[in-house]
Amino acid sequence: MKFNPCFVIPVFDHWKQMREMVKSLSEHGSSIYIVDDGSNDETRSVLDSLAREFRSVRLFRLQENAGKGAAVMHGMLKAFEDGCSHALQIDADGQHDVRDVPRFLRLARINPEALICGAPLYDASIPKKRFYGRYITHFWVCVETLSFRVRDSMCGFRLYPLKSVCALIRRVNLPKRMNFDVEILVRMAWEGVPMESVPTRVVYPPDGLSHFDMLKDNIRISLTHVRLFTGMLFRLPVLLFRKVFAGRAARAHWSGLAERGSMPGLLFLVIFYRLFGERAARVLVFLIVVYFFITGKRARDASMDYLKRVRAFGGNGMPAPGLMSSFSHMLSFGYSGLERLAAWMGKSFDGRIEFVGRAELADLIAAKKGAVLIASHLGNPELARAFSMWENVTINFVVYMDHARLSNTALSRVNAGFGANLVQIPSVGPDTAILLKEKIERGELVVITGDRTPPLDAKKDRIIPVSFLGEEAPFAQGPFILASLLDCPVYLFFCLQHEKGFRIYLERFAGKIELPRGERRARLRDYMLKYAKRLEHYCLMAPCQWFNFYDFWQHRVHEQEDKNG
Amino acid sequence: MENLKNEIKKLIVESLELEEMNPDDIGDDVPLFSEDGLGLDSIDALELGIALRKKYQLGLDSEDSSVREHFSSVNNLVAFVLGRV
Repeated sequence: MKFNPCFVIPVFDHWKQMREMVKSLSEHGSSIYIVDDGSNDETRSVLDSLAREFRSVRLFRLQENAGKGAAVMHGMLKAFEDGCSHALQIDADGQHDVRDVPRFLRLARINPEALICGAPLYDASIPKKRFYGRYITHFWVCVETLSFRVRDSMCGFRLYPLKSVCALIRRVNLPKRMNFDVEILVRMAWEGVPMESVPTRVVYPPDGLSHFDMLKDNIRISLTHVRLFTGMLFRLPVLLFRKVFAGRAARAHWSGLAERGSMPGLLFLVIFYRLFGERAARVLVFLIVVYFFITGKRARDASMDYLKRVRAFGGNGMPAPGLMSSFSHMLSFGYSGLERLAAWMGKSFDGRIEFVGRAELADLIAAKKGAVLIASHLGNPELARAFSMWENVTINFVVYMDHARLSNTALSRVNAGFGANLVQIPSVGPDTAILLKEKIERGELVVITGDRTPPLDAKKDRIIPVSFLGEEAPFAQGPFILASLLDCPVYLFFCLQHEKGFRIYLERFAGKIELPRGERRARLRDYMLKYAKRLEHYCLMAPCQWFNFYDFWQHRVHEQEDKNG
Repeated sequence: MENLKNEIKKLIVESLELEEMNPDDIGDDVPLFSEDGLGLDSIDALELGIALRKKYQLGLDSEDSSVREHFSSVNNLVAFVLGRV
């Protein structure tokens, strides 16, 4: 988008400084959006004459006083409609130094995505009460955004990138009064909008009229902080479900449930864990799961559907499907995420990890022959990465770039070793196949996921419907084709929570996956069916550790629709 | 040039284990991945890619859509290998 800035000035009964301000702003050649927030007659007539006098002025009038936030949003939406790319908000009372305008514009050119905030350098004219009030707010904003990027959250002198701010205005109900400045800033930070700041001199003109109501506006701002703080906590489910477990819950299925920008949330959980310990973190996770359980209908339905299937398939030993068992299903997901975080933070699992089938691979490893291990979204295979399963062998975990990228950066901050044995591949192609093949030839192990969710738009030739828990579900061919290209022994691998610890299961799957020409699809199907059978077996062992919370069987429907269409 | 052509044909037959075929049977312009031609599939493409990469140290990015074009016939493969080596 072309860089096309404008000015937005909300006006409520301020007219004294307006003429001078408009005059100096008009020298920049950009449009000036003045939003009259139901001002008195005196102000109205000044604004009217300014609009007649200056071609660059566009005047809008709200019939009743709606609040500063409402006026600013009105102006920004209009400017965006007119094709402006950025809006510099300026208060009408003359406290902002218009000589700093070029500094904002210069920064916006360099960093067009950023929200650029004025960081006030106060002179002695600031009333003491407002000065301390700002400090308190500053503290809260740091907590809410979990960062110190925002230097000043209340200064109304700031430049907004209109595209992202208008999207936010349309989506979220933002406060219309003085608390607007704070809230929009915190929310933009949650969205991941980069923040810049410009030091600017702020003057409280002696004859200036301020609409800041000490009592009411401070209460409003306090309530805003309560809401934003809670909002920050509520963003933790997003982090748990999308960041700690990136890939576990396919993004497409969750995107409708959660807003973006939960990276600060994960760090918050890390800090919380460090400060208050594991038990408190479990309580926090419990609350998050309660919240998610109540609000996440789709996940709840998927859980019940799964529990119904597993019970029908496995008989009476299974938990009866219903709200309670769905809740414990989701709770076990939450706790499992916490365990994973704890493992990366150095929690010791000594003596609590049992390894079934360790001997299976011992000879192979000793002989420096590589192997493929197929993992699943049952239990916590990721956890096995945190504690090494074998000594003297390199284990590579293959992850698909887009799923894992974010979680990587987040968990990398917790443990520098996090990314060490991850192999990120964008998709299976000759280059990645060769890369992995070289690892196998060096005697390393390669872990791939067997039940990776095919994207909704996956081509039909990329998936094969295979009977799973009593009904056909779409499984991706990719992992099995990759395993066949790697031309080596294949094992299945599960890491399930067991009492207070974990049990790792390893079993031989095939000496090598062979897909001779002519019967490829049939052979692939056999292998995939065999895999689905084993997955079923372990699902029955640990029904609540199935961590897919979307309709796993859904693609079957899609395929039929395709056939009909 | 002629040498490289034969080399690649041989590579196709060997790496894909096309036992019933002779390298000379593959026409220079026969579409490799179409039913009217050799009828190879996407797994073959991967295997062929691996073999080509090993032999000629070619970098093949699976996201690169032009790869499909390069792989469409022996002639195109020759041009591709010559262009990259």
